Amino acid sequence: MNELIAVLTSPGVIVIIIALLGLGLGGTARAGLYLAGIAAAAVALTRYEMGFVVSLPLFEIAGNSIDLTPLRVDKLSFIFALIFLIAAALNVIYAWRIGDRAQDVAGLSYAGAAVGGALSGDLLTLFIFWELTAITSAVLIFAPGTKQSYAAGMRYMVVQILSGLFLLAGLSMFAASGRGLGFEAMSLTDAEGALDYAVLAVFLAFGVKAAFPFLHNWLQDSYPKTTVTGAVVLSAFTTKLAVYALARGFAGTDILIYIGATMTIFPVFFALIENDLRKVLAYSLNNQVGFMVCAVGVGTELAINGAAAHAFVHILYKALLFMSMGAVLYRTGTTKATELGGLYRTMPATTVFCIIGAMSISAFPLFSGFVAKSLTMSAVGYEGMFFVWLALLFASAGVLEHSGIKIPYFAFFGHDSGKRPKEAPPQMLIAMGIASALCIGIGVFPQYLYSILPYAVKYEPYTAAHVVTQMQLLLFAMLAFALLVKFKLYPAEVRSVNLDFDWFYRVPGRNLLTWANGASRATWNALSGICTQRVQALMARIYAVHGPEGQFARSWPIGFMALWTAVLLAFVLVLSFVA
Amino acid sequence: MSDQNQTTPAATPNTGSDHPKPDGFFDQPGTRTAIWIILIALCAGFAIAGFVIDLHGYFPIEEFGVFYGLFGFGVFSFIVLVGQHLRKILMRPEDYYDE
Repeated sequence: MNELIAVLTSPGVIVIIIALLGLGLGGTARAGLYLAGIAAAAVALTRYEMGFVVSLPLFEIAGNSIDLTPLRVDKLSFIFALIFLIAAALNVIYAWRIGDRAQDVAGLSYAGAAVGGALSGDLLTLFIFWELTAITSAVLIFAPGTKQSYAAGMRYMVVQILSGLFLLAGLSMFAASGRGLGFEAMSLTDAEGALDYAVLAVFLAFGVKAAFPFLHNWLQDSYPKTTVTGAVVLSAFTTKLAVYALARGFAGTDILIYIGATMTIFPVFFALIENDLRKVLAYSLNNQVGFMVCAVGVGTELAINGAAAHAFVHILYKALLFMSMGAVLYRTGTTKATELGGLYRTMPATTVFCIIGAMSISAFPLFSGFVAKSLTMSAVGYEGMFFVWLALLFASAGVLEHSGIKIPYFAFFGHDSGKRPKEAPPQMLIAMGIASALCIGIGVFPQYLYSILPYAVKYEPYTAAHVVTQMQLLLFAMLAFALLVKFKLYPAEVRSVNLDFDWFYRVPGRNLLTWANGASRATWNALSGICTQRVQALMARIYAVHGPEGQFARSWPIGFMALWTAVLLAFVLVLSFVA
Repeated sequence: MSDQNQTTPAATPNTGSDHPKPDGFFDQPGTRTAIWIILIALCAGFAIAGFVIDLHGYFPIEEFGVFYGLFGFGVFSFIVLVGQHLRKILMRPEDYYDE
């Protein structure tokens, strides 16, 4: 009973219940209730002692008791749950003006599911929240109600549910092999070096949500097609829950270093040529998660601190960037670079907030990205992984290109689009203002962030060498940008769509499916045709023999009958003699 | 939403005359020159600082005073100059997926 109360009053469940209560309320009342609920959940979270767990025995299987741990609060789960709650509060404030009931309820339930997922101590509880994030977030993608968003939403659902099925398969194999359902560190190979399929299934489940290369397109496909507020909400939770899950289950798994490094680099090129600025941010998200995945792969205390700190600050500045683009979308109806430019004249506050987000993600000193990303860079450097370090440095310059410069430049500066939109509504400005304050606050006072990291921090980000090298990297890259624009070498934006890996399932994959559908129908028609013909031929033959005109229906003469009676009698006579 | 899409065209559309007068602060020639001067001065300042202070890093290459500057400049140019050619392979009309 006490356990049940503990679960019902856990932060994730509180947030979900509050989200559902908001169904019956009007816009402002709902936003007020939601902020109060998130505050209550935050208080509940901070009151736990580190290491607090709630355990429930579930059932016995093959002599092993299977226990659930629906709640586990330690330093790793705490920081993720906390930032999810902060993001949820920012989302509520940002969406206040629009006040769309379905999106508000789905958005906060989604946040609650992410908090619950971060606090789950076993794979079954994680699975439940994992699927809940998939379903609630899909509502946000369907929300615009356009044909594009419907199609993208369906693809999103398929991928997210697939991730859940991998997790379900993995945890079933765990339970069946008597290993219990505890969500702890695991290894892809067993003691003899053979691949462990149960762990592999769990790894793939996390990989889909973290948008590993080739599994990443659900993100760039769906986030840019959602509503003004939808993209802000979506950017915070799914991928960072996956980062948490990887940090919990797969810290120090070498392959993650290379997966992460790949994730940091390839989106840079796609972001460069992309016209839709929200899609640029989606690629940028992929690139940022790459840094975290790489850090998880390194797996040292410094690296895990780097992944957690990066996730924390990333949620804030990515939300800030999506909020600024949301404000642009809200006022102008588009986020296409070709249709924007020069908006700083009439949206100065949004411009400043966007630049703060851009400077944070680019890791300028005194901004949040600097104090977080340097943990990861140092962890990689400390391990002496030169090429991985070089790849991350390459990606850092790439971040400056697409998120640091391209986003603010093409929306607010660049060529004058002639558009003179009104400044963003006050609620949106307040949300952006709070996010901006947090970005700068963390950058200036990193010790508060460092104090909640999973491991004790002995790290000083503001050394002269560190500040000078980072400023060199960024300023010389900006100089390159200025020169490229000056000499007209920077590519102009073009109204277009760029192919990515999703082309394989959206064009040839779809064609293959259409073909397979047609082929199976044709095969079925042919087979049923053959069968029908055979049956008809058989029926015709039976009819010919037994029908009214058939052999057996002929009328026979009496003599014939008499002859047969005589033959039968003779047979009986012979039989009786023999007997 | 009543206050959505509140965009009015510029008072003097730039397409109207051959020599439009730039109206924004960041479009004034003076502002642009100032930005150039500040940017180049900052680059020079941090490049010099790179040789003055002790850049102890994890790898020997980091000890070269302007390694980070040159790397940033080179990588940024590479991404932009090489990356744009991806369009030749990947770019399609906006209605390509026909949704």
